[in-house]
Amino acid sequence: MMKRIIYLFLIAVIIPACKETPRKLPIFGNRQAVNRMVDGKKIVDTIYQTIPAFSFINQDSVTISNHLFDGKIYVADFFFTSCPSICPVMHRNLMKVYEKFKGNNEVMLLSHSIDYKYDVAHVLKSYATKLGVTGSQWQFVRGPKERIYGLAKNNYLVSVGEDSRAPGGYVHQGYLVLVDKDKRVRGAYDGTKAEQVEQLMSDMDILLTETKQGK
Amino acid sequence: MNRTITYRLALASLLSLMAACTEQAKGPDSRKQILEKHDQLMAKSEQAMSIKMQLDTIKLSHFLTGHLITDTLATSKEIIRLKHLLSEADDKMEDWMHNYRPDYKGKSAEETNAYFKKEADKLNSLDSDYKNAIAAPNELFAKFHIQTTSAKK
Repeated sequence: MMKRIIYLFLIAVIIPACKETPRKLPIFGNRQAVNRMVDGKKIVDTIYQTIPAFSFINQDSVTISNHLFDGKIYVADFFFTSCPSICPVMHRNLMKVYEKFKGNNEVMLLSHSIDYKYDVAHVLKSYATKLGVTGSQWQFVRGPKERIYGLAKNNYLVSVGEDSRAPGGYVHQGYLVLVDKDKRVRGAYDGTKAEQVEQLMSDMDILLTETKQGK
Repeated sequence: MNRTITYRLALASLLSLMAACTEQAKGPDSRKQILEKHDQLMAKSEQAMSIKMQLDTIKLSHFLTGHLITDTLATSKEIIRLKHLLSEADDKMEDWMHNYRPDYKGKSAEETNAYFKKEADKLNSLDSDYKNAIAAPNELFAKFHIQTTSAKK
């Protein structure tokens, strides 16, 4: 009898322990604790850093804003069409992400050009076409350099700055940044490394599931 | 005898051809080195952009309140000059990137080498433009006790 109880106890403990708990992605950036009253009780809430409002011109010469990404997860990056080194590799890898999530209306890609002078709309359009991108799921945008760099350094690349072993700056290091539906940064991946892009795709699956489960 | 001479000549030609190829690949102005230099300059371009933003903060935080500024017109002119230096270096960099042909092939190996040598020289000149433009605001930053943005090591 005692043996049977022990077996049952072990089964009850081991089975739930073996069940894999889904990985949760970290939230990067500054955070602030605020007090809120809910049903007469004081609770502490956390406000996370989010990507601020923006508007840029895209490859179709249309002004797009942050609202285009409302209710979607998206991958952001920084590039320029005449880049001879990092960007071609990064975008070849990002094509895998595009192919995997093509047609998924919860997913978008946003590539910011850092060459305001030459990357005008029609140049971005022919770059996108040459890459094999159609439709509006992958946006290629241009905006004043100060604004693009400001967004990159202060918002998108918040998780990269400290860890990067890059010899210089990090806007032109080929990072792919994963942003959730609440516009919070959830990951940054080296877009020049195939294994990191695989990780990005797997993390995008996690993020899509997470939002379906209501966080 | 004749055959031996022919073999030797063929071997010598082959060796010199191999040496020439190796020299081309290892040459100081090879494409790989140009790309490395380009990436280093991209970091400087990023640093230049941060400095430009810092120069704007002088206008906002010090200029408007009149803090530490005795000659506002001279300071304003100096900020414009320093920003212009940074923009000029950036402009040249963008022009270089736009015009550079990484797949360039000349009619001869010499012509191809000459092209990449010229491009490497342009990048070296750009490097010193960036160095000067990045160092130029130091005096002004020191005056306002602003810590300069440096490239990460």
